[in-house]
Amino acid sequence: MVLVGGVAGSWCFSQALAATQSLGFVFVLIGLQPIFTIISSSIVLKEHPRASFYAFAATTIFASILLTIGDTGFSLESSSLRAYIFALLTAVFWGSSTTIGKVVITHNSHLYALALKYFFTGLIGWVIVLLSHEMI
Amino acid sequence: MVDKISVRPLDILFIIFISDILASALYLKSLKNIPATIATIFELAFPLTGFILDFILYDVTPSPMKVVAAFTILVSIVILPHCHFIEENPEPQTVLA
Repeated sequence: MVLVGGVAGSWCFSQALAATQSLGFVFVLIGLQPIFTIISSSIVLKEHPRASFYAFAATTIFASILLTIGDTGFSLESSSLRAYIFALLTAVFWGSSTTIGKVVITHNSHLYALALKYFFTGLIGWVIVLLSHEMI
Repeated sequence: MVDKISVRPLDILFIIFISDILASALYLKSLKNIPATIATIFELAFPLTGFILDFILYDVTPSPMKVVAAFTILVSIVILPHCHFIEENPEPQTVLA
């Protein structure tokens, strides 16, 4: 949960933001994270919803994307391939971290999991910052 | 690529506590009680919050497309829990003589 949702997800998200001029399509890709949660939870947690769930889920994801990009839409040319790759990786990591979170939460309290996540994510984040000399 | 901008420490603290730690705590608490597949769809309500706050705080008139999208998310959140799992181990039927 710390490595996938905290460190890797946040790092990819910041990389995606840094590599784009327009946030539109990046947020569209990140909005796909429920797809990766549904895939990972079917494998790890054996959650197998009814067929109608998938139809509603797809509709909700589409509606959420429409709300996110608004009426202005997005431009594919304004972002690099690097931004799209990192945005998609963010969706994969954040989507999977929900499944991992469910596994952790099953055996621990939510506050313990929260403290664990922020403590180690912060710690590892600072190590990465110090090693890469990318101080703010 | 992105210019450095000046931010106030209190703003950063507000973002950390409200939008990150509090939201994560509530999300993890919900994960304890509902399936991950439902939680992840409920999470899609966050653009809906932005939409509502835009309307209330900034007086932004929503387009018909956004209203339909917001309504769709609301309806899905109500309906989804009722069409979730396939009952794999149904209760054995009592055979009446």
